[in-house]
Amino acid sequence: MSDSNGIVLRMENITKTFPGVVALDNVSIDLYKGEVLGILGENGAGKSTLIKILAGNYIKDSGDIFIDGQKFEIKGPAEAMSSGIRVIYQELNTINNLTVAENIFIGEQLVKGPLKIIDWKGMNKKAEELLAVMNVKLDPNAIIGDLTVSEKQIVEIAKAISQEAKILVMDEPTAALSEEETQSLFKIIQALKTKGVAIIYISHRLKEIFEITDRVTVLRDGKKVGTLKTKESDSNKLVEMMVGRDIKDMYPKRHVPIGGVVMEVNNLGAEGFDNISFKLRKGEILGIFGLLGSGRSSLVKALFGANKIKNGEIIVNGKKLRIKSPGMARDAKIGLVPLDRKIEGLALMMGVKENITLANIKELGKSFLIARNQERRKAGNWVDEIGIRTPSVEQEVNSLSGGNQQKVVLAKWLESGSQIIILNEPTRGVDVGAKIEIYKLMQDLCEKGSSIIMISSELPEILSIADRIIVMSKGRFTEEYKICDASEEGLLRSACL
Amino acid sequence: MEKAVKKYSGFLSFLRTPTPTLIGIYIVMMLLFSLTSDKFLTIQNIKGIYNNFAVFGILAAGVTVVMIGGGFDLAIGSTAGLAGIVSSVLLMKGIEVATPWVFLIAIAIGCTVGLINGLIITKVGINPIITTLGTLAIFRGVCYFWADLNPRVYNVFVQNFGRIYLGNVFPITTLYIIIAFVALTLILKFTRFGRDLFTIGGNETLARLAGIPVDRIKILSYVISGFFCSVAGLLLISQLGSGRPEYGTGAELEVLTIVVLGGVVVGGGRGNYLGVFIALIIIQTITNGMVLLNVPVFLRMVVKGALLVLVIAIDAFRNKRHLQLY
Repeated sequence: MSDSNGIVLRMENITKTFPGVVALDNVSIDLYKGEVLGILGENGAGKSTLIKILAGNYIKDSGDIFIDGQKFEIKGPAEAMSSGIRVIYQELNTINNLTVAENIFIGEQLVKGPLKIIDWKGMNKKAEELLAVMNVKLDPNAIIGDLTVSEKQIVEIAKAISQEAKILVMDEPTAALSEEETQSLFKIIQALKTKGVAIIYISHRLKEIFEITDRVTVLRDGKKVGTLKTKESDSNKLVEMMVGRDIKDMYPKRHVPIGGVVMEVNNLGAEGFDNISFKLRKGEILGIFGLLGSGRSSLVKALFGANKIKNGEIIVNGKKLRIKSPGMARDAKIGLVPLDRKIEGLALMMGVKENITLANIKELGKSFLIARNQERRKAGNWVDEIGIRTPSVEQEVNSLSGGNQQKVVLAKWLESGSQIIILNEPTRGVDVGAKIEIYKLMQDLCEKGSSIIMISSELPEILSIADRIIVMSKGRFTEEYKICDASEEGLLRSACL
Repeated sequence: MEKAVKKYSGFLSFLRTPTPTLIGIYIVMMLLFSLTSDKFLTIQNIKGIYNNFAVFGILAAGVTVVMIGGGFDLAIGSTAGLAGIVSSVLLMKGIEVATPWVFLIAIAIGCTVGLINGLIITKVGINPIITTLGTLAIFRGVCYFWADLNPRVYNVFVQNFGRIYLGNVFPITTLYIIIAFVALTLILKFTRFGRDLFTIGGNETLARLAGIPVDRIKILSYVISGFFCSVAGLLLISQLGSGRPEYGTGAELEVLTIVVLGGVVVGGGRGNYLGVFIALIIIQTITNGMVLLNVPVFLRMVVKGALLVLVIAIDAFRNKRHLQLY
């Protein structure tokens, strides 16, 4: 970490804009040989954009990148890789029906002989060696589809270091890992460090940042707030840098009286989870916490009729329902703000107005014609009521910011009269200001008598906003917490049971 | 961050489509043809151009609906051929089914083919390109069942259906196209069916999660396409005076070229009939101009193919910044 080790990577004054958004604004970082640099920031702070520029997935608008002191234009992923940059993304990029060894050597298969025939034996042997470096026992001939999430991740790391990796970027690598698996990942990182690999470690879990990084750079709203030596910082300081305000203002929570049971789920089972039971009360925000692969998203889809229910029952307002399609869920006044709003929540090419009315278009006018004036008025009302910032209701949602897009998705269900609103990671990819607005909005809805199921993997968020939290792990229910008994450690422990 | 980028909206949104590029090319071509051929700018010739594109225009009307919903229909040529040959057989001397029945049967055939395509695509879940590639071959095969009959069309109403000129200048087929395009424009803009169709084409996952009856709407879009195939089939036998099993062969390529040049996005969610209409006129004008200039057939095809790629490339280039977001 001392300067004498030399700088492997320097990104200088990097700027990147998307239509309507400055994703990165003059951000600079240095990375030394054999160090772990943490990059910390809220969702939407620009961490991913920075990494994608480094990996050649995005082209920067301006700024310079130096590798080993040489100015280097990264024009695409192949160039980034050839200069020793390897990225392990949060979403795993393994191919499920290939073996461990095949996955490790995708695109870089070992060959032998003049005909360049694939050297299976050599590949399996090399794979075994790579896994041994990381102290992992995995059969190179195992099919990836049969492995656990954390094992898949290990394969990803092996793939990244199979070629000489100079700079290794890990984007939220522990999102799907249990405590133990995280510890073994840290051992691997230590081993790579001693080999001189420079590592960029992206996370929003402070505990891990303190445990594994040497220095930490904090980003906020696309700007660099500062870089600190990890040893010389503490969590309060980092949080303050990250959110730019006091933590109490970040998660406003007010008291909403909680009424009777509106939804009861008994022994519900479908693909991805089984035997889940819970009750949801009027005016309540029920949090569901779980790691990647815990079945929380499958549960949500089943509640909404998008996944086939195998067993169990759903009772809404005392009536037993068989929800077989999203249309039936909508008619039962259930709304879903999905995990990926661009894929499941919005028609990006359409306007704000069309997006708000599309789930309830049959109520607009009695005939098969759309009552366009009524539509414009209704959409306009929602825009005002929940504060969607848009030049007009005709504006394409594509050009709105993440927070406003999320509000459009929510408005769609409000327009359909939803009383039970399921939000899957409601503040993902939303800037800090809009986050606070969404929290306030959720509580406004509860005050008006709606009930909310919120899935979140952000611990501070779920701990501050939910009234009650149930924890899932590997498709099962593990624990229920009243908010006064819940803690970060407790939730994480239950999530790994 | 709230400052949204708003370039073209409302009527001007057509500036975002390939249409402006196409109009530019059209002007250049018009100048070129009228300077090099004295026959080009005659009423006789222009009448001909408009009457010749009737079949393609009617087919484009239906395909546009399917494509806005994110679908694809390669079976249009075969379906039109089938409706045409069956109608001409029914009109043959000795059979002579009443004209209204012939029209009804032809329309029933087209709609049934559309229904079959739609059901296979939605309920069985086969990719629309594969499905309609299959039905393209199947129904073309069926056409050849009547290959030996060589039915000529003597029915005067059917003869006139695709041939008369209003006031001796304006082809009635162009009126059909305008009626179809205007009606469909209104349907797409003002009905729930139209809105749902655009939603499905824009994001089918979302449409399903919003409780929109996706399958029903998609099936209906293929039935609409089938309906226009029937009309095109009747136009074919009217204009050509007989029913032949090969009528309509290759029409799908010509029509898809027109529709895509007209700014209908492959994959769905975007498209309008103004663009399709302009593309229709331009493609036909260029074809006609090249015929008058005695451009050899091979070169005509090369020019048309190159035009498609060129216009779409210019479009992609102009919208590059717009697309980079994803």
